[in-house]
Amino acid sequence: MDYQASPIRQVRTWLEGFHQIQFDHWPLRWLYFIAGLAGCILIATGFIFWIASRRKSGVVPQPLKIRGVEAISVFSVTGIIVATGAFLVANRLLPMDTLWSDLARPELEVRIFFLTWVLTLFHAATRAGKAWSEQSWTIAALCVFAVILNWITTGDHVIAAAGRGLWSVAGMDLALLISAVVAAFSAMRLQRSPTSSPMPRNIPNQSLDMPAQNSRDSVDPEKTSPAE
Amino acid sequence: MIGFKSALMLFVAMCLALLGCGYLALSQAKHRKIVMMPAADRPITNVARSLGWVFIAASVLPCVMRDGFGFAALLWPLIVATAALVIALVLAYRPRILRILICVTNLTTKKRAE
Repeated sequence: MDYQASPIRQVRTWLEGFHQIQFDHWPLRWLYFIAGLAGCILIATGFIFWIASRRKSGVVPQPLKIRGVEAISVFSVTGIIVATGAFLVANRLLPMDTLWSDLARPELEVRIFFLTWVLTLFHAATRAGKAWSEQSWTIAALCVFAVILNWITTGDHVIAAAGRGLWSVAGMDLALLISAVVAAFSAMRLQRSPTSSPMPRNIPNQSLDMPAQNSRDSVDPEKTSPAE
Repeated sequence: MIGFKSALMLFVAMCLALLGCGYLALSQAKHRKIVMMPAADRPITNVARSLGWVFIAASVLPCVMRDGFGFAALLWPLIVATAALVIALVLAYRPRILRILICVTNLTTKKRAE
């Protein structure tokens, strides 16, 4: 019992612990989850603000640069969720002993994930302006579909699973249903919005456009006055 | 009882962090405009900013009391980050809520006006 962990080892254990979540501390686990979501929001809003600040109003075919970035952002924000939904649906639809040109079921599921993801890029590139809402509808449909397929194939719907104490199944189904509602809500809002890409309602008028306009207003008289 | 105490500590930490982030937001002219507050002069912004930092710093105490330093080192930054996220969402969708926080900075405005 003479041995005592060195300070470096203690720090190392602490660092390892908080990277691999080796602790029983549910508030901290939820905060990790929120922080993870916040990271996703950071990426998504980064894309959206980049596009919104460069989009030229009234120009019908937007410049290729903007359409390209918009396609990539649809692909990486909603596309990856569509692909995950397709993965979950494939997991329910493929029979256990599927073998397709020496690819077993797990590999096929992964192939379907990546294939769907690539397809969302094509969709985003070809359906400029409509891709956001269409992919959100697809997410909603796939989430509901995955829940229903799980019910059909295993007999577990949310209430039955929760009743039998299968909280991992019930929690997954609940998360999918909540995602479906959020996706459908976003899709409806996107269809109504004039730019048909995500944008907070009161930001563009109040804080993003104002400084630009003010500076233009203040620059113009200076430019014209020397000429007069 | 232990469960209640730990939940209370979390709640207090979250409230302090929210207050802190709220006052920090109100110390910036851009956010004051969104909340429909009159533009403030320098002393008032300084009051809001220092209040913000004091509340954020204070939120470390319930974290340490609840979990000790090891876990507080994780809990506190994540609670402050979550509070910042909440305040950012409030500013985007329901900015008027932040008017609750104005009372303190308004008091100083009145005193200065008199």
